[in-house]
Amino acid sequence: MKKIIFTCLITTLMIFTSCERLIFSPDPPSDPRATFQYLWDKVDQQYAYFDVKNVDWDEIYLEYGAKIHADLSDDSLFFYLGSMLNELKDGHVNLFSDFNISRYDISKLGPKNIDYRFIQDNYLGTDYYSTGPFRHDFIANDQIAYVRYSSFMDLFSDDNIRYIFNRYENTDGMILDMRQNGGGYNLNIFKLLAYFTLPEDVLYTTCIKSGPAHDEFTEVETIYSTATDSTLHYTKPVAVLIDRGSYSATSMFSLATLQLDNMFLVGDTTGGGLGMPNGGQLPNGWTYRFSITRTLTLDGSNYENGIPPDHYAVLDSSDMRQGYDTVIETALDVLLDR
Amino acid sequence: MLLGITLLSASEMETSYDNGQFLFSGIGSGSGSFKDAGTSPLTYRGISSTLPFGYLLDNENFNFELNTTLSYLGGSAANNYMLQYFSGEFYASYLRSISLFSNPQLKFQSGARLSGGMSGAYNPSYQNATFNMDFYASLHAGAKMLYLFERPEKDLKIAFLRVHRPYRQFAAYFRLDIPLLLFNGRPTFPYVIESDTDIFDRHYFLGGFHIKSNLGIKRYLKNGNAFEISYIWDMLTTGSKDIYKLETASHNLLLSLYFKLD
Repeated sequence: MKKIIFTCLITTLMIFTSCERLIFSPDPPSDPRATFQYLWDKVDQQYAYFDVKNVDWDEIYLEYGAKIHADLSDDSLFFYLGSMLNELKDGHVNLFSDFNISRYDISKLGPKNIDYRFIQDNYLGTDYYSTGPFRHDFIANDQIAYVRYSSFMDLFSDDNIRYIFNRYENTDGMILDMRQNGGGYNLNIFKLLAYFTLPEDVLYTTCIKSGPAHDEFTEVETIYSTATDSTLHYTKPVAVLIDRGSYSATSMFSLATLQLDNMFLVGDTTGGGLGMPNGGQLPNGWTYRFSITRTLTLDGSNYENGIPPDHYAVLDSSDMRQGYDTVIETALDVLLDR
Repeated sequence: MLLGITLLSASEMETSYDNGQFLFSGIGSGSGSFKDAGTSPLTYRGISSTLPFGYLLDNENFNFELNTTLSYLGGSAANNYMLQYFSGEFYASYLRSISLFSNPQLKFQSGARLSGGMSGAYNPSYQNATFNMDFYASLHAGAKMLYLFERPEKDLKIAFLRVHRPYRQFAAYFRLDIPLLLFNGRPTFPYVIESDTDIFDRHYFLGGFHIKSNLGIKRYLKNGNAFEISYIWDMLTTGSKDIYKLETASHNLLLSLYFKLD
């Protein structure tokens, strides 16, 4: 009897266990053609900036699809897929493999508009302060605070900010140098902006892809400052220095300044990168990322290709020979109304 | 067939040593697979583990169970990218004995199981899609076949050794829960959590298939406690109504301890 029952149980179990293989979808082929098709489809359905990139993605399919064939080497396939993605001219678009990472280097769109050694030699000296991620000191006869924040990857604390605000409370304004700040954590955008805004100040608006058509997005959502009544608040004028290497989180920070009366942008157009990149995996195991959200101004303007400065300035070699950083000097002109 | 087995197995044994209230806890390990078409078309395979605990009430008429299970799957697909999948499930189950097919030694029970769970997948190679969450609630129809048997006390002589084999009581069972209704909360179209403050801002839909089977043998001790070895198969697919299909399965060998309360 026991044998009969156990045989029934095991048989039943095996039948149901094998259902798993019948119900689950098989993995797709990982050949070059399938990998190309998968990536093209994903970008076609989810990329958020076709309209401002002036790219005909269907033409891209024909152009690159003709180059993809079954016996392509991994190296060649990577080259073609990476080149296809770079047609989007977007620093938030990458293809990752074991042996390479494709990238569109947005900072190459303009000159590197900062020489930090030059700033140390001519403005800060050797005794400047390092508070958390910030490098700072008095400049322009102690009338202005110069604060360098080189990466939104770097975390900071209330105490860091309190120290800086207290030290420079008697200055006439602040220079917040974000040239070549390539971005980092979005969390730091809100945290830093909170010190320069009032509660409920509007920063920007955002929307997310909601369907496969190029123009399918969610309703626009307004993003507000996270400042509270108890947050330290800097009210004097602030010049934010930017260049083409100011990307992603720095562009979002810069975009928010367009809504704020006491902040203005000096330097070169930012690199853009206002979308949040999302990632995934291809049938052959490589991974990718591209932007699936849009960040816009309150009036709906799209600055994905870069936020222009309020006061344009790039480093000038004749100024530098005299010991002047053209961008800092332009900011000082505005702050001190020289 | 059920009636035949029942008649064949009918015996003079009148036993109810499986009855009572129990607190139980267990630990299990095995293999599993995971595929979330929103982030990858590839199936991740690897090791799984499970940690159930709960309350069980068993008597001649019904079986009632409250169960919380924490599970983990660590797997890889191509390029050795590691995916980690965590899930937590709570369920309440009620099975009623079918007297027509049951006798003191062989029980057939049927009923329902209501479960709810949430899971999270972590794969840092997916950038901002590194972490994703899913919610589900499911209603199952459940059926269980339980066979109670005893091993008599016996003295054995093996070579020059005398071995005393004590009297022992066992219960072997097979349980299958098939889905009636599955409610899912999955990531939205571009596969991000739309709001940092509302993790329940998801794409909700009915559909899919969640099945669970359990084959085990339980040994009862003199004090009424028991320990159990069981094989658990758990499979979930969110089906074709999902924007991106989620498919998970695990096969675990589970060791459990039951502590009798009464």
